[in-house]
Amino acid sequence: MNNPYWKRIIGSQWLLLGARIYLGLVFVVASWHKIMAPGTFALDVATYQFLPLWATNGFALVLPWVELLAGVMLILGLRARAAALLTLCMMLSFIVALIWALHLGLDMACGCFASQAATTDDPISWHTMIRDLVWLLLALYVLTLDRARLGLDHIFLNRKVSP
Amino acid sequence: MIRDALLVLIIATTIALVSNAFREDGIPLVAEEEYTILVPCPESMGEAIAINPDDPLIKDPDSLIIDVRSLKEYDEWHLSQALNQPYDWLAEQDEVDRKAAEVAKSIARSGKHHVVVYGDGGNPDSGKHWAASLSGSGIKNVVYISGGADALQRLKDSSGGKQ
Repeated sequence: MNNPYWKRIIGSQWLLLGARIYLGLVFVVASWHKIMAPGTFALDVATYQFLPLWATNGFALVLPWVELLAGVMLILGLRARAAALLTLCMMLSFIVALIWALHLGLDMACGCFASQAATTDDPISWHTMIRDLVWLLLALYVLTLDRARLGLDHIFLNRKVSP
Repeated sequence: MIRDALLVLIIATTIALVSNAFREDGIPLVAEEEYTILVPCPESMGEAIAINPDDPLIKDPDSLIIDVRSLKEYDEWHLSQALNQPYDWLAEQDEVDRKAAEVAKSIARSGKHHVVVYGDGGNPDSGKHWAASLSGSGIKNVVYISGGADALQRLKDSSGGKQ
């Protein structure tokens, strides 16, 4: 009870559960169109002109599955901090790619939730950057404060949780 | 936590590779040829300032005059001191940039202080576009004649044939 009120709020496992579920849903939804159409997503990746050609397809194939697994793990509370670490790394790479595309002045859609070919509703901009930064902070929040009290880790593995 | 994250990466990579191998729309792990990127790249356009056909800059010996109309139009009539550098509307931006860079070099060699561009004066105006391309190539003091060759000829006619 010595903790200040705001610290208790921020450290609330229910708030963390909300953050986890929100972040997890974002990643699950983001992964779907990429898994369904790997060729289109590879073109999206190439459009950023960030990765060398030899790495484009491999990245386009693996990334969506990492997004999906990390998203599901966050929602279920299964190794949530490892999933948060992965989402943090992914958000960092997205932000770097976004800065690169903005630096090149590319007039393109984000490709985050639908392919370039399918939509121009989500053009990259500094607003996209702010959105990604918010998700990055959210991943950092889960990574640093989640104690796995609400999730599969706690239920099935009967983990000892630190106070 | 890092071990768990690496495990997720390995699992995601395995799923990605296996599912890609069995699906009909699978993609090669390494792209065989460059992707054709459909996103328009930014045009190297700078600021183009309009001047009137009777602006003193046109007769200033320190001004380099560039006529961007076709060679045929140039041969029919042009300002006596004008160089011909036709603007090709259909050229790829790379080609326009390359030509702009060439003209920029000749401008630098000429030792002139101003560049005055005129085109057909239509809408869009080739003179304005060429001036913007030159300005985008780093050339300073680039202006274009509002109304282009038509306006210059009208002025010439109204002043009794004097340029």
